[in-house]
Amino acid sequence: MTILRATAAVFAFECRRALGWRRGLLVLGLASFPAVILWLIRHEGGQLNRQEAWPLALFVLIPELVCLLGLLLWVTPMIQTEVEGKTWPHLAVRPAGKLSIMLGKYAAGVFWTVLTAWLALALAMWVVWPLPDATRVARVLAVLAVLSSMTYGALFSLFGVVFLRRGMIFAVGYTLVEFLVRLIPAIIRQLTVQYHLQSLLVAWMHWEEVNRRMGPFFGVTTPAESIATLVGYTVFLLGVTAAVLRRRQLVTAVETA
Amino acid sequence: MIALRRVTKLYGSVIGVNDVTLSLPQGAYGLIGPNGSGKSTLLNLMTGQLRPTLGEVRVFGDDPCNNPDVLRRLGVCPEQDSVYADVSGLEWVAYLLQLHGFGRREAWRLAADSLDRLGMASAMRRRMGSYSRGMRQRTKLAAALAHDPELLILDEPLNGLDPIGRHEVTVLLQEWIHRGRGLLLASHILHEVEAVTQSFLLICGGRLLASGSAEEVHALLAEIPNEIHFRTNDASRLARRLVEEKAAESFRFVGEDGLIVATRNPAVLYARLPQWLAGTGIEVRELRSTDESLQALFSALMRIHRGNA
Repeated sequence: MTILRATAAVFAFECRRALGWRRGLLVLGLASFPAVILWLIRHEGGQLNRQEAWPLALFVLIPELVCLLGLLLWVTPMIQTEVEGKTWPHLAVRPAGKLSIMLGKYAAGVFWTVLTAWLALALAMWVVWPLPDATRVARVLAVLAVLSSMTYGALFSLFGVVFLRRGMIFAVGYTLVEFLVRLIPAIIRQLTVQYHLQSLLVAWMHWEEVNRRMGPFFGVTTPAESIATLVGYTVFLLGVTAAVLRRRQLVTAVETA
Repeated sequence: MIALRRVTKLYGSVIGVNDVTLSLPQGAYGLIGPNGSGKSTLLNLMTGQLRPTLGEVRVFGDDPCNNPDVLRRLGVCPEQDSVYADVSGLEWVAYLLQLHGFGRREAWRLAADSLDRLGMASAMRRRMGSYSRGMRQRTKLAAALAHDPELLILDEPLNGLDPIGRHEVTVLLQEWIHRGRGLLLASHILHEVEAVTQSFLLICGGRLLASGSAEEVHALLAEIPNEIHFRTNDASRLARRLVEEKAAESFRFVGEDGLIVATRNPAVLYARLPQWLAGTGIEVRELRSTDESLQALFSALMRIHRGNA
């Protein structure tokens, strides 16, 4: 109960602290770049011939790119900022300190990322309007943004806690490796987050034809399996992050004899 | 209250604390040592932020590492002079109380009370980025005290406070001890500690060199005058005033506004300075012990400890 209450306090505190013109500009910048890219494609007379092309472009730009960038900014450095700012000792000596800081900051980072992704989706949809089956596209991508932020957020939390200062580098490196692994037609790609997000996209958009043609590429897991996998990853990764943070000795000023 | 058995802490190949054994029953203690002597490492071990490489740490009979039951009973004021610049003192202290397990409403009430007690009533709703160092120090102390812990662990709590602030905090800590609460106060300035408690632990080079009462430490210090460094708007008038009060043995002027005073009664000087300067127009902008005398004592103790003296 104490942990839950303290986590809620951290979440509220972090959200309040984030309210400012700096965060506003970041959100606006991140949210508008998919719209700008799509507008440039349209403005240059680019046509995406197939019906699935625009939703696919939106998927790559929003639940994948915008969410990953948001998480890199707001989740990966969550512990490092406290350690570097030398505020960590004040938090770590509180009974609910370490775990609730981690969970609360993770929740706040995911919250801001999802908000940014939804705003990006709204702007991008406006640019590519009219879009066939627009309501379904918006609904599916909005849910995928939540799942993407939740799972990658847990993964990036772990990188941030294990590698601290180099957390962002490892997070970017992992994303690139995952992108390549996903392309390998072997069972290993089923372990990637992207594989499950894409499987959900294909299933929820009812792209049966795409699935038939590119089944090996998009995957064959059912939505229930994919959601269970993503939720499982999140819980597991947050658990590992908590365990690592519990073991780490993050003193900010090492006084030596 | 606190027990350490053969505790050693290594940072790689560097020794932070070296084979320390001590047992402190409920009470108030001053942990004194020069900068870099291992005080903060020792306090971090006691608050569970560090694990000993060797040995065992017990606080209230338990290992303090990741132990909410122990941490709930502690009030800790770390040395780090860092707070969030973009939130108010009230919001920050209330936030820390919520991490302590208090509900939101109760946390805000306790935070306001504690900040009020530390003389921050008028500034508590301002952003901490606008605080002076002394105000930040008071806010940190308020955070450590707000939940009324059984044991207060303070690392250099008087750093950055002006003479009035030092006096106020000293009185507050005296009252704290008077209530029968535990206190461990780390400082590199003997007289700061002496004004609060009469039981000392002397640490240097990561080793616990000596422990004892004020008289015992003073006997060691008797032949070594203490130096206090002032920054003031009128160094020569301040020097004259201290001579009138027979509070100084010698002076050195440093730059335009610096004055180093050698005294054998620094505690008296600290206690009476505000009264001596009242109405004179002399402003003391900074006051700190140059600490050379204490360093000399520690050097002597280290030599004894190593068997060289």
